[in-house]
Amino acid sequence: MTVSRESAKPPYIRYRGFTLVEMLVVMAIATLLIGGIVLLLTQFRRGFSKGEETGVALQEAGMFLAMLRNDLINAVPDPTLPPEKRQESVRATPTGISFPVYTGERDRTARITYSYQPADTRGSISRAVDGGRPRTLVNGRVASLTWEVCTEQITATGPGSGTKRIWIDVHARIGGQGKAGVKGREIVLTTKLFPARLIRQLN
Amino acid sequence: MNNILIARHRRALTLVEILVAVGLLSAVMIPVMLTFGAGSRGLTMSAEDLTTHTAALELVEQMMAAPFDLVPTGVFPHDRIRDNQAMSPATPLRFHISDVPGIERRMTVSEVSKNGVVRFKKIAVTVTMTGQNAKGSGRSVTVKTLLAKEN
Repeated sequence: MTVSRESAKPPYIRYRGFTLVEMLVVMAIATLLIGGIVLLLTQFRRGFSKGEETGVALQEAGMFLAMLRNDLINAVPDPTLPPEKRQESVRATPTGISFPVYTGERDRTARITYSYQPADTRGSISRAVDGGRPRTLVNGRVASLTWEVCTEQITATGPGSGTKRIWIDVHARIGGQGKAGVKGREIVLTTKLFPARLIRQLN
Repeated sequence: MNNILIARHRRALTLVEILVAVGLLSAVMIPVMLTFGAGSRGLTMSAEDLTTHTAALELVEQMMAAPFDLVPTGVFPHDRIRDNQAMSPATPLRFHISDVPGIERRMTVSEVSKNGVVRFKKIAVTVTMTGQNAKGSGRSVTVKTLLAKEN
């Protein structure tokens, strides 16, 4: 039995390796793709954090304003003040606003106090009833807050003369720079709140 | 066994196959991408709602707090609702309005009579987001209330 020279060789398949250039091109493309995906995911994650921070700031700003509005609607003249001074029933300082409200329980009144604790970065707002334990409404998100009690008395002759009006001018900037360095959208609240019950009782 | 030939036939992808693959990937990814945009839009709408509601309530509350007989009736377009401007010649009341950019206010006050006597005043305030640089969403909120004559 004769074995030819060719058939004695193992089946020969020629595999060519990748060249350096091919490897570099593939690595560059892969780097670009992975970099793009990582960048995209980082931006999504940042967007989520920003959205969450904005959502919380919106919620806290809305709750603070709604509670202050509701309390002021139920504000009544301070019974401890003499009648001629009862339009001073709402007392405001840069760090707090306080007024009596009608509670509906045995016709008694309760004193509501909103306190603003400013801080180097972001301050907080809390609410307390009758000097009790304050409940935090906005926690470390207040960039600035001012509240000013404004009064007006109509002196013109004719109908309405002597009418007293009171309103609270509120300016607040909430959010923006949140906790742990997460930056969200800033909520600007600018409004005037009218204590309807108090105004009616004064007139 | 001479010249064993191992055929390694590698066929490239056709354009149609690539297009189908890209189409499927887009169909999966586009809704995912849109989800992120929807969240951001939702927050913008919530912020606008807070602004418009606050502005509408500011106007409604000062009308509610005014003496019934002094509340003027009529239609009050945006340019008549200005801070410290008289509400109408028939009343000594003035508007007290906060400066909020990007919104327009409109108010309607009408009388509701019974047996010839005015019992209520119907107040409707509409606040529209016009936005700065005319890029507002155009969304609006209307707050309506009845002011009762108490005496």
